Amino acid sequence: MNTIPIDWIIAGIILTLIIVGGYASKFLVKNVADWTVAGRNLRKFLLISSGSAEGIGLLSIALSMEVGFSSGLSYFGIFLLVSICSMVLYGIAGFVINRFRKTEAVTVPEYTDRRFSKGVRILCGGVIAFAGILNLAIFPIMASNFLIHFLNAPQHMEVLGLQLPFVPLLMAGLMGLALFFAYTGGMVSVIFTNYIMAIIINGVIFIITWLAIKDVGFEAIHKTLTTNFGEGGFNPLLSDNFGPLFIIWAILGSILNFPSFAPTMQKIASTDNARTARQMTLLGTLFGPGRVLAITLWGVVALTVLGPVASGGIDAGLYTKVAGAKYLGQLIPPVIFGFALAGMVSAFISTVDSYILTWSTVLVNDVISPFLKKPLTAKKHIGLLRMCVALIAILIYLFGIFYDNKESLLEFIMLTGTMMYGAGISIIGGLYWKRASTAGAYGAVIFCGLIPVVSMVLRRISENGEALKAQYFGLGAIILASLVFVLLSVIIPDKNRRKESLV
Amino acid sequence: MMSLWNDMTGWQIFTYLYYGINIVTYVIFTIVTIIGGAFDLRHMIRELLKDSDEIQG
Repeated sequence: MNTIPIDWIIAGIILTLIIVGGYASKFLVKNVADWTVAGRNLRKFLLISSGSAEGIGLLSIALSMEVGFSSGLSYFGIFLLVSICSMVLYGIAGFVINRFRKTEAVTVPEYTDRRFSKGVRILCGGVIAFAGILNLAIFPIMASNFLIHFLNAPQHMEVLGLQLPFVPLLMAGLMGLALFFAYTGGMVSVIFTNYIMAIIINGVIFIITWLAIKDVGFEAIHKTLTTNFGEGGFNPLLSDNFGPLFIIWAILGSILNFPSFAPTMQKIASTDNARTARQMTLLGTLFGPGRVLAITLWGVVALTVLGPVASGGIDAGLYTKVAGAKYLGQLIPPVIFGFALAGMVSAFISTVDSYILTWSTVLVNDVISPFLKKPLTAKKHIGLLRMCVALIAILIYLFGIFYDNKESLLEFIMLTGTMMYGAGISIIGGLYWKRASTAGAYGAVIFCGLIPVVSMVLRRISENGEALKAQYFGLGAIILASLVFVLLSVIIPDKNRRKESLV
Repeated sequence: MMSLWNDMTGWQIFTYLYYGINIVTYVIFTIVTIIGGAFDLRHMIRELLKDSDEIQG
């Protein structure tokens, strides 16, 4: 193990303080609005800082390091283009934000019910929840693999005389912690604990970035990039892993991700006004990339130190995903290691608890509630939410046990994200095009939901599955879904347009 | 070190500058938002306590 006792003590104290704080915050929750959207009392700095903890999941750390390890620094070019699009559209122009806020909808499917039909709401809710849960499902297994290599922990541990594999046990522990926070106080607890975790996680990122650069030096980094990747290590157009199609997919995805991604829209609904929501988006877009870029750089440094060929007994298929963790485990000195460990576990909790809460909200509000004859009482509503939280936790745990690793982390996240974009196409169409119809919305949601799943299945059953690049299916899904949306809206218009929902 | 910069392409130099500027900006921005977040957290707690007082009242 890479740890000494003081590291565990430090990590234990920090996590205990966070748990106590999370538990204490539950006494502030008095109703459903407090539980789901913190009573709409969130201002921009708290949103941005707590959001930064949510954005730095342990999986995003692993993903960014994998990108740096396998593609060099070229990902920044994609990031730059995506950031510019998001900044202009959402941060400055308030595209979608302004009109969505005026609808007073709390979730995306709730808006689709008002604009299109109850059926679209249920389908959107179901597809978004499924895609979101699938997206989340990779977090525990990858986080556990990452932590095991970070700690240099054994693959098995002895429990009551039995040699049990460590990964499932670690997954259970991590999920237990995340569940505790999701259960305790809902959004209030999530915001409060995420804010505390943001302080720890960002502090750890600062320190590790400085240590990594100091460890190898700039010249060695440059030599690694030019030797392993050539110009493709800097330019995404020339990178073997990216290329023009991937870039277009990423840009379209960033435009659709905003209205499709329920956690983002739920945060928009949680702000005290639309200006706060736009400012939060603009500030996050302007200043968010640095964090991801710093972590990508760690991956390049890991490649410099460990080399591109699998070593240290790590399976070749898993190597690019965990080499970064192995390097960090060697790099970080004692005491700081304890803070880093607390930061890593916090990074996992802060993302997973937020997303579990969000998907359970979508399931209850937009898939289950529409079928109920009478609205739920507040107590039953929260009880049902908590039941869904537990169910989702069990599902993603089981997914982690059986997951067969065929895509890179980035491809998996982008493909599952693409599944939600049908809702984004419908939202944008509904907000800005009077002729957008229910039939079009159905078509968009179905196409975007199915094509990425087809991609993942084909990769596993096809003989040359490796050749089926994710960007073909991802971009194809968006283009086809958009065309279907427009065609069906024109061919099958709504008979009774819901004028009261149009802004 | 200077010869290293002289041998780089324009895109490579832009890449390093972009990384450097963004990382420094991220550090500064994070410190500012965490300080601001403390005040916003106080506001949130006060509003939630005010709501509960109104309900109990």
